[in-house]
Amino acid sequence: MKISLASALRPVLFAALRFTFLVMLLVSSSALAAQNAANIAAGKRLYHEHCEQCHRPEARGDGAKRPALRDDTIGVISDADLEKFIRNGDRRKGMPSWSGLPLEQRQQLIAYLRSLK
Amino acid sequence: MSPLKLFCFSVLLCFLGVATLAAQEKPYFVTYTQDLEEPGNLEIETKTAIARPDASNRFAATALEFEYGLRAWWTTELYLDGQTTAADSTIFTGFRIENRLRPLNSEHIINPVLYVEYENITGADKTIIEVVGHDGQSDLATPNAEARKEHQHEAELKLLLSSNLRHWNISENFIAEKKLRHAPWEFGYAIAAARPIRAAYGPRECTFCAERFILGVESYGGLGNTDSLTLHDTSHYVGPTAQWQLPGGIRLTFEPAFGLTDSSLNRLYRVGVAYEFEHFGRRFKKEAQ
Repeated sequence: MKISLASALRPVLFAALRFTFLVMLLVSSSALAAQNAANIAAGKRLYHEHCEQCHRPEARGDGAKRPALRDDTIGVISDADLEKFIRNGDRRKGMPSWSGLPLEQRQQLIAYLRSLK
Repeated sequence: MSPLKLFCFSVLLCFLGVATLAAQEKPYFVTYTQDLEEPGNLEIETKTAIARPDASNRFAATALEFEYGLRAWWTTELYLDGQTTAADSTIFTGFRIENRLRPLNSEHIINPVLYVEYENITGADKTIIEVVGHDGQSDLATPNAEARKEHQHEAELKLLLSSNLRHWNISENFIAEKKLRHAPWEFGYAIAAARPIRAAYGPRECTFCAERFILGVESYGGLGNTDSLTLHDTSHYVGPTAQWQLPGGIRLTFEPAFGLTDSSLNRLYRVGVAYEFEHFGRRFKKEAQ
């Protein structure tokens, strides 16, 4: 019984492909995790510079006019809505607009706030 | 130590006890943006203009600015102006009080801000915080002893339009100024655009990283007055501008501006140093309690 070279190599090729796919998945997920960690760290810097004076360290608020940003309130808001709120502010309630910060920085702020759960 | 120096030192010590922060200010000297001071924060900034008019002596004029956020939609400012002219004298030239109000609650593509100012300055004022009417370098060449005799009580209105589009801020100001006596309205403009070198923040604290630098360009000039609404015999300037936000809360801004007409100064250098104090008002409320 003759076995062709192609059919003999097929399992090896599939195994190599599976291995490559797994390695790529691992590399990309660890790169994403590293990127997310960098965004959280950058967001923490931004929070310290712009938000901490009102919302207090680690976004705990003051229990009165200056709300905490780590409770269920922001948990149920989508990133897009949160970004829109930061951009617009609510001047009637004392929250200034942060449209002067580039979009990337507002997204880094959100990454930091999400990490505070 | 003189009483004045002692007072200044005490004020400085008082300030050093207050935490500082960075604001979202842009590197403009004449143009205002939509960004107001955060409520309760006090920003102190010096804006110095250095130039030499033709056939006159070099001068350095400084406007010391106290900017306070009364509300998220209302910022008030006090300017104290002074100047020193080489081979002449150093004098206080007056004060300005201004208010900026944002009428709309949310952000739009173009955001209007209303600006109202009262000026009580002398003819020796050389801070060039705005250029209106037929302002020119000849106004800056009069000796201080003579120029300070002229007292100017002026009202100034501005419509500030400003947009934050992706990484860019683009701002346009339309200026109308009037002496509080029988005198024509004078008009002027200021436009500017700026963006940070890098939009995203890095993960680590840094001093010289790209996100701490903002570059831009600014232009301003006079548009004549109601008696002669023309560009003839008006001053116009354009120049690059750069800002460096230091980690400690200090902001440095530099702008070399170049005159575009015969009435303009050939070159006008501007240097700004700013420091912002968070929740300045609340600090005094607590002490009063």
